[in-house]
Amino acid sequence: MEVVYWKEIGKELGRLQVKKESVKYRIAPFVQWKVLIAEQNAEVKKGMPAMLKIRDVEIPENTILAPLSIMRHAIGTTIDVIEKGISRVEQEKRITHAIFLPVEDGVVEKGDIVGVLKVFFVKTGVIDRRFGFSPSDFKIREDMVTANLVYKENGVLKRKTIKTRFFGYFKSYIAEWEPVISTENVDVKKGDVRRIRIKEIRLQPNTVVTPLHIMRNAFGSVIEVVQARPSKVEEEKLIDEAVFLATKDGKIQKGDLLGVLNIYYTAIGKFEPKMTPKEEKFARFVYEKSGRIFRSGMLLKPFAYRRKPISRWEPLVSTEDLTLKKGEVAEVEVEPIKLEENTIVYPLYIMRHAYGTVLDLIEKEPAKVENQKTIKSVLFMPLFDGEIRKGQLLGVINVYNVEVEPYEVLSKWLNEWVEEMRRVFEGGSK
Amino acid sequence: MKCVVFTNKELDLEGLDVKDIYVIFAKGAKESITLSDRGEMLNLALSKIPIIKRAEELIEKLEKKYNVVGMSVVFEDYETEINRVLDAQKPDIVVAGRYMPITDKLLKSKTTILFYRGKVVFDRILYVHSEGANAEVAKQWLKKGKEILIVGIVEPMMPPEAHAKRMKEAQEKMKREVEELYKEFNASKVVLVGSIGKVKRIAREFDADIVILSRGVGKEAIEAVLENTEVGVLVV
Repeated sequence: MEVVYWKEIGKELGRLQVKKESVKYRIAPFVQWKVLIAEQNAEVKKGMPAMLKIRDVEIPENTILAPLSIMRHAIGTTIDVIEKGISRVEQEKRITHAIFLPVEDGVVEKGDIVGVLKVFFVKTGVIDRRFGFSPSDFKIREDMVTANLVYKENGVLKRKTIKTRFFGYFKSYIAEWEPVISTENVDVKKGDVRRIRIKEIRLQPNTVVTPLHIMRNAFGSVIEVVQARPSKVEEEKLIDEAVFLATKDGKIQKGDLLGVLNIYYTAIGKFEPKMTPKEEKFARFVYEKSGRIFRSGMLLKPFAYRRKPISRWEPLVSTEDLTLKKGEVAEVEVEPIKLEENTIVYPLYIMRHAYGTVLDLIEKEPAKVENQKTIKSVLFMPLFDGEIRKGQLLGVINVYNVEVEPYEVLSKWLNEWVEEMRRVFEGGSK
Repeated sequence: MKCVVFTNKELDLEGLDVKDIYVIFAKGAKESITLSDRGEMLNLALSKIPIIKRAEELIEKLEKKYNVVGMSVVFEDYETEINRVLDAQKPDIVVAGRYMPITDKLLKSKTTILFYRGKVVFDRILYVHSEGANAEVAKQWLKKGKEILIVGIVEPMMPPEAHAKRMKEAQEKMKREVEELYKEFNASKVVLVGSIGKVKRIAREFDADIVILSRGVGKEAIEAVLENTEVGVLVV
């Protein structure tokens, strides 16, 4: 496959031929955060991805990146990042730009927080994967700088200067799913990026969320979720809106399932994660079949899952030539990727194609996590006018194996984990 | 003044004019072989969470007094982190609050190094001057002193008879430099031919609060002074 990257962003392209392969790795339960801060003012336009220069962020070797979901800036969200040059997971990386997708017109100011990265420590070697991590495998570094938290209060944009200090947290492999259900009727047009009001999701303290990938609605994908007011990971959160990217013209109806959130439990700060009883929720599943849109109502049972620490990367390689226009989201066919039953996927952060980034995977009639599936196309957001050629790498996905159980089991898993972690938190050091 | 603190505990830096601080929280963590996923998580949590908690507590305390610009938590390979922070932060001073390797990069730089041993007090300074000393930086610190003893050390050359002329020149140069400092700071002075080991006795007899060493004495000599004295050592 061919890797197309920027030697100098927007000016000189580099090309590499590399062997396409699936790579297994082990992921550690410790996660660090890195805050992304705009380095200069930028006027942004709703729905048009903007490449923002950010303060350089150094990322240690043997790490992969993901976004800390929940919109971190009042006027948009970071959908990917760009590194200086091109690096392997095993190498140190320098992140220089954020790809910012605005949900409204406005100005990102120098010093604004535009996103937060999660840095996962991984091991790729066969022996390393087997024997796991030791404490010395982690390099925890944090620059503490003043930056603006940008949020809205009663519709008014506010900037609050804070001093960033994000160390990181221990994550459990325990999670639950929460459906993202529209509470309004909305007409959408292909390419629209808009907030949609959703059935409130109350998140317990010590939880982080991330959208479950593989598009769950025929009209588009949930890119991000929005909370009523800013809060810390260790606090309770109320999610009441989703940022939805429409991939075709249509109508979103009240009660439609827009997407699904993964909710992970973490150990951080005052450590008291808890779960609350959950009930079945009704939603309409919107899917396409033979060129027609169908809606099918269903009761969604609450489910929990436990993720395995061994995962793999799968490269997404285009099988078609395509002309791209900046900001016009495209469906691109890729070499089929077979996903076994009980797997979930996340695109790997850091833009892997010079002209844009993979936002989501597409399955015309999405199957349950518990079922096998084959991915044949992806949702690609161009950041530049340009082209994709057959055989080019578009992105990489992380494929995780999970153990799915009814929600009641979560309580048992979580209690065991909380007890162990509490002993660590309250106990002495070694 | 920008300061990098290499430590695993709180330090009293009142005697320094510190404004910005970067902390390298260095603490060896117990390693063990992982036998299961659960074992791996517990092992990591047990070894890391208490250390991170202590680092956070330290930062919170420091933030009340200084502008904390960043922090690293390192469990091993201290040298790499010291060198990286030296490049990234370009500090005026590195304070070693616990055992810290003296890296070649640190020694070749112009950054002052303080080996912390309790309070930082400059009332009685023993300054060890040597060939190639950074006198201007040394003077900045000597200004803080109330009583100063300047020791010029000339390493003996072997065999003495073959280097008599050079030896004499080195001694005279040292005497001149010490004399200049002596006049400027109204200090006591002594020029010795001998090894750095003599500093231990001199420091004790002078009852020094701090020993200031010219980095020109070299890494081994700095380590020897650290081994043989109980007061703070500042390398300029």
